Amino acid sequence: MPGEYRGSGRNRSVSFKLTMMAWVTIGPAVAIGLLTTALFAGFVLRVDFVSLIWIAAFGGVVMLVCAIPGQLAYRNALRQRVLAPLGEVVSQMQTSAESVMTAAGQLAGAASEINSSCLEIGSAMQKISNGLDLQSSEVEAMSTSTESMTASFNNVAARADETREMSRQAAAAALLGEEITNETIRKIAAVRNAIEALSSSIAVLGVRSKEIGTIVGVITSIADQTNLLSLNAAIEAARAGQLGQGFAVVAEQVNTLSERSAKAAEQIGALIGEIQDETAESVKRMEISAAEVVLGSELADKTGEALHQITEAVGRTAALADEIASAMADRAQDANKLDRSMHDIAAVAEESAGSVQQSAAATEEQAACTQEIAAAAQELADMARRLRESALQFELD
Amino acid sequence: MAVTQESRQFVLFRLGDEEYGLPILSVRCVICYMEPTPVPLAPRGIEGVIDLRGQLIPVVDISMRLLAREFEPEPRSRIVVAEGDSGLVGLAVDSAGEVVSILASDIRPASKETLPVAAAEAYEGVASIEDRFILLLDPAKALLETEFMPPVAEDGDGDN
Repeated sequence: MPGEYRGSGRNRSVSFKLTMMAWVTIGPAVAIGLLTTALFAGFVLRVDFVSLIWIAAFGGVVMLVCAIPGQLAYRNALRQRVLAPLGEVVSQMQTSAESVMTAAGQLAGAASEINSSCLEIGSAMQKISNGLDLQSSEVEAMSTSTESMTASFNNVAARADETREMSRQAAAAALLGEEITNETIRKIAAVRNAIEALSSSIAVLGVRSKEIGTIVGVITSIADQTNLLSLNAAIEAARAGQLGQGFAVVAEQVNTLSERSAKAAEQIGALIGEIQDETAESVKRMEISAAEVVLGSELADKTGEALHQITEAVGRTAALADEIASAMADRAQDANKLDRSMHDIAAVAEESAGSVQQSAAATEEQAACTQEIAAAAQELADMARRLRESALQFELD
Repeated sequence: MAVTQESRQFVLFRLGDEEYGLPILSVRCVICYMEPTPVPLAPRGIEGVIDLRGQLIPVVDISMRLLAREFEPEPRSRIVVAEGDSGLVGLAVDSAGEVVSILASDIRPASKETLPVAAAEAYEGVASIEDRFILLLDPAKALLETEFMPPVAEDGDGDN
């Protein structure tokens, strides 16, 4: 047999050993049995000791003679039925042990690789975990920032609303101011017309008072002449003596009248002079007023224009404030969304961190397992080696 | 000229701030002031002559005589034509226009101390009417055609 040639020597020695062992095992028992039987037989049959020895020796020889062929047959049978398959088994066992050794070595290598991979994975997991922690805290910080940003946006939006409201009020006020200014311009124009009319009236008044002055001059001169006439009449009356006395009275009355006329004319003249002075002054003031009114009208025009510009600017401001408010509202919504997303991210990161922790734990466990596997593989390899060595010691025969 | 009546009439005229009076009977008429025509070699105090209805009469600068200041014509200036001893004489005055009757008892003699100029002899006296103070001229002295400025005579001034 091809599988037997290697272990034929060992097979032989094995068979021998087995035989020997069988003998050693069975022999004393048989011998004791025989001896006991013999002793009992001798005791019962009253056989003397020597006979006994003989009988025993005989029995022993018989036994031996009987045993030898049995032994031979047994050995043959043993060799054929047990030792040959056993050798085969042993040789198979050896090859198996060798392949187990190889496999166990490979397993140990793989396990150690897995172990190192697990360690790497573990450290990577740790890093991921740290990263996730960092991410989580960053996201938290970002979330806080986003919240304050949202508050700022809302604040700005509220301010923009206020601004729009104020702008609206300002626009209304400016519009009112514009209307009032237009009214003022119209009034100023009316005042201007009135002043011009008044001015021409006063000028006419001046002319009239001058005419009156001339007339008063005439009256004064007439009064003077009258006075002179009355004076001369009085003189003539005096010269006429007794005859002129009635005439003298008339002359005196005429004189009195002329004096009163002169006085009245003088008063009128003074009044006319005052009126003329006042008129001249009034004309001058009217001219100044007219100039002032023109200036005022121009200023009112400018004011109106400025107010118009203010109205437009304020309108634009209101529109801009509107835009700002809506933009800020949009930004606030965006920020809210961002905040929610941040929270989601944080939750996911926390979850991931948990998973990573679990994974790390699992990896550690795995590492431990692989270590155990490696150790077991080592042990298995050792066992296989020892088995192989043990199998090598087998000598069937 | 002595007039003894209860009251006498005077023609009043004004020179500056002073009011003067001439007895009405020594006045011929009062006319508006007209510029006198200067006369060559005329005595001092004579401004010139004027034509009064065809009659040439000399005009005396009575202002110079009584107040020692030159006469300045005004719109109301008058010439009082008086009858002097040597004929008609014009007196240029600032104004004239009133005839008053003054009681003889109201006339007081002019005191030489109170009168403005040394020519006190030209005055007959002074009279107070209400609050007015009137210097009454003596025509005989005041109307001399020639000058009377040099105070020669000490011969008293006529009646009271």
